Amino acid sequence: MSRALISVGGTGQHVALAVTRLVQMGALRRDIKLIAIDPDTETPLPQLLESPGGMSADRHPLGMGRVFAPFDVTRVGKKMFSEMFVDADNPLEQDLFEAMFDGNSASIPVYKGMFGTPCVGATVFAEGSNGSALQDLLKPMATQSSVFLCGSVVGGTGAGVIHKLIAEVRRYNEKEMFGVFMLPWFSLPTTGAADAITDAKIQRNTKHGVKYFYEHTLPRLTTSLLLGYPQGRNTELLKPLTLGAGDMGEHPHYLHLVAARALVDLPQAHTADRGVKAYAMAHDEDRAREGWLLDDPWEADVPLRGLVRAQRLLLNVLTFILQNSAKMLAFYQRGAIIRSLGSFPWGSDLHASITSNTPGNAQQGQFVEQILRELEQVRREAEFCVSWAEQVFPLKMLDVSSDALMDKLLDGSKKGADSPVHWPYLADVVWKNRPLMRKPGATQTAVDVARHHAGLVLAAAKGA
Amino acid sequence: MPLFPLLHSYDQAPSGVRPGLFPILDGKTIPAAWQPTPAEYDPVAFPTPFARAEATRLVLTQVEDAGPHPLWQQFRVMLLGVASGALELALSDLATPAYDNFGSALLRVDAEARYFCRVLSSDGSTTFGATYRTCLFWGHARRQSQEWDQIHHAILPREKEALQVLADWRQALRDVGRWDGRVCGWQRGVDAVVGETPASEGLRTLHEDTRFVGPVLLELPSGDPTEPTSLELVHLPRHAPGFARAFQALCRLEPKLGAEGIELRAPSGAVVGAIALPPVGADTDALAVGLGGLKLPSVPAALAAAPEGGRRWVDGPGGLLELLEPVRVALSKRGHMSSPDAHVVKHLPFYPDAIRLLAKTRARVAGGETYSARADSLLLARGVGLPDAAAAEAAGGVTALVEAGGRTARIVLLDSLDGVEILDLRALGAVLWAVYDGDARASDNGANVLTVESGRPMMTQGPGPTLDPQPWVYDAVSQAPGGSSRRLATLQRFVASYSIEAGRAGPLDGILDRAARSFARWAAGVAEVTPMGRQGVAAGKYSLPIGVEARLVRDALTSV
Repeated sequence: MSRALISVGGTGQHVALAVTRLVQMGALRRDIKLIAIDPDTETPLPQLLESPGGMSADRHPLGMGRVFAPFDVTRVGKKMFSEMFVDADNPLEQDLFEAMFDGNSASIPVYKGMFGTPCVGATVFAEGSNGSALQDLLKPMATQSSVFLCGSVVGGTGAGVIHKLIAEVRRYNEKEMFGVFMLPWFSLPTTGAADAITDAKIQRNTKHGVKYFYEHTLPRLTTSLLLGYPQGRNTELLKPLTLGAGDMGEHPHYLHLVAARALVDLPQAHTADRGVKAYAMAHDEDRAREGWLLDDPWEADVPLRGLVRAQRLLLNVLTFILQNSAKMLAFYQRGAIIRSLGSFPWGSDLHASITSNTPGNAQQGQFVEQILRELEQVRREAEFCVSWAEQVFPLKMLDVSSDALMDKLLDGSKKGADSPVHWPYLADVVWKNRPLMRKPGATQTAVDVARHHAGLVLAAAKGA
Repeated sequence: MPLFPLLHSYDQAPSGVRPGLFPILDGKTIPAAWQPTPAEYDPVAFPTPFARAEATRLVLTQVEDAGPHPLWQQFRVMLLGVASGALELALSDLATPAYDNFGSALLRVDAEARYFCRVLSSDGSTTFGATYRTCLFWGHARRQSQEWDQIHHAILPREKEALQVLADWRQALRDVGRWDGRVCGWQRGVDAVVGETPASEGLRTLHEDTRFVGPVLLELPSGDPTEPTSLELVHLPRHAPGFARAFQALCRLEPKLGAEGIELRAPSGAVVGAIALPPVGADTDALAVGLGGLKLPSVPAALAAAPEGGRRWVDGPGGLLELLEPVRVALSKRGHMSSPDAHVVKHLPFYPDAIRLLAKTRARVAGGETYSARADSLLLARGVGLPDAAAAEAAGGVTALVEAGGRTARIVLLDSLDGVEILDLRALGAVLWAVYDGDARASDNGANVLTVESGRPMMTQGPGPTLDPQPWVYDAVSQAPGGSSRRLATLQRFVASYSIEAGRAGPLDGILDRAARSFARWAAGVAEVTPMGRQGVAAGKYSLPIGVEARLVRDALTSV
């Protein structure tokens, strides 16, 4: 069984990033393939989505390549919207274009985005959808057991693209298609610029986008979740968010996690009642129960709280190890005799993994260097998940009660590389009797060794 | 339980007792707080290139609250503008190269938007909007308010007539169950414009003083709850006084295929009317691009080009019906049959002018009545509608049901109607009298009746089921009678010879009986001529091309 997630626009990418973390942590099964669509592929948000925590290409948790622009970027170049269509050779074409779009819309520089103008987004996508690039992107939909579309019905890109995109996907997949549509989840400052996306524009687009959704989009989807920030609410978890003008980075928010939850809940809800086409999510503002998504089951045996805790623990441990990089390198770069006089607090099992998979002492220094490099990558991946979770949830809400091990490690971390806690924990508990030995005829690489030992830390954290 | 929804502007408490999914209302209906009011609709905010059409549709569904909303005002101006003639429609096809990649992009969004009409100023220089199947008209994004005002002022002198043709047109659709403002927003908009304007009696305005423009692809109520609407090509009405009469005149010109389609030329050679037969490829809907549309630049020129009483070029070889076969075939592919004529008359807006006006001429109201050319032109010229068979008989006329080309036709002959003197029966009676009295005889092939003295034809030959004497015969009986007035006994034998009481039972004998009596009354100057005396002898037959014969009789006392 495989699932496709198609994210549209910046909001869609925020949801996709939440899903990426949940897959990476194991809360969602690793059977989700992501296609991300956005005209802007150069700013921090799409770049983060293409390489989350340094995991790009084959390592991407959602198997994603590049963010796909809904039109031919090389052909459009720096054109305005009107320049995509209007030319002197076809006066009737120009006449019709000018009848359908006013001057403001016509002059939108679409390579920068749709400036909160859904009718422009829809038209740009219609032009781009003719190309083989989009069709090649969507052909794999044919083998997906279900498809999830996520985006905003408020912005110029998401709202404009989603409806047409459904029709394009349906050319390849007739199975269940679920929608996850965000209503306003942030506010914008008031600026004087005429083309600025303002709160007023957002509210206008919301009303029209929702109306259009109910009239035309809802009937074409299996069922959908509508989600937005409830005005006037301010709880420990739900905080209003104000973005700066032109702010194109990621802004983690609890609502993105809720949107990702739809991947679990919508199919189940549809099975229970096939007549409902539009859902919302109820939130409990009772302090004791507000973190319910941390404790309700996802797609793993361990609740999300435990999975986040495991990542936090992993991050803590890896940070410690990397703080001791110089010591480790120095050890393995020494000659054999000097080495025999030294000690390795990281334990005999990691040492065995190193020595077993290197032909001789001379190569071990380089091998360890590679291990440490890979551990740094694993640390980035853990940080990618942890930093997001710590922005979405208040730290106190994330904590597992009576977590003696975490408390101990955090305490030890205060001493940095000299923590008296970490090496014993790793050598005597996590890695004990679990080296990654060389197999007959097959040498384990430094990456394999790093991943193995990091994996043991994670498994221990989940089990503890 | 402090549960609340993660939604904006939604104040209903979530169902259920724990956090998680819950249906929004019934899971399908938009909450009222999210429903924009008409004043809030702004086309740019809809996620479709057809945003202006979508916004117009939604405004029309709430037209009672639309107030001065620009989209509603523009709809109103375009509707009345087209109906009054202040605005024109130009048929368009997005798939043509003229619309380049913009047309292709639009078709990828909505393939059914391919055929549409641009709404233009009467001189064709300025576009004011276009048509779309869900809203009928949507207004141009860049026309200024003073430009709309100019059109509004052009409409004003003709607004009453425009409302009348729209009221008739609406009624025609209502009568066949294709009108419901609750289902089609554009119909709600038309209702708001037309209001309580009543349709003319018998939809006379639509039949006589309207031309059709378009057609326009529109959603219409289907009556099927599973598929509430269906797409149809519908012709829109434009007020055109005397249009039907002008078309009837054109029917007296021999149609020929030419550059403009089926061309109807005046004796001078000028084209006074043309029926479009656009050449199209296999993937083009010919009706949508104007097949069958009638171009008639000038009603007076059409009337002047074809004098009354001439032969009608409708039925038979080379007639309009034959040349219009491609139009009928195209209509039948869309499920619109061109016969019986009564069906066409009942579903007028689905047929182009040439087809619907011919059907009206041939079918009249319901029974497939066929009138003489003289009755056609006189009654239409004087603004008197053509009656059905019952009304014709009530007015002293006579009808005969005949089989013609596999169809049933009802020949109707009248001497007068509503104060209009027609004299069909009297004139036919004059022809019969001429044969009876030896002044005329059936031609050798039975195709006409010829005067003995000069061989002058007394009947107008037509390919259809008509018994039309020549105009000079009509002229002769419209004056005071001559010497025949003193031949009462002969007239009595004449009447007796054609009397159906004498056992004549052919399909036309009823007409011949009444024709003889009508002539006799006039000739004798009395109220009634009693049939009596010796029966006449057979004098050949006058054969109509449809295979029906009128058996002629001569005076037995004078025949050799």
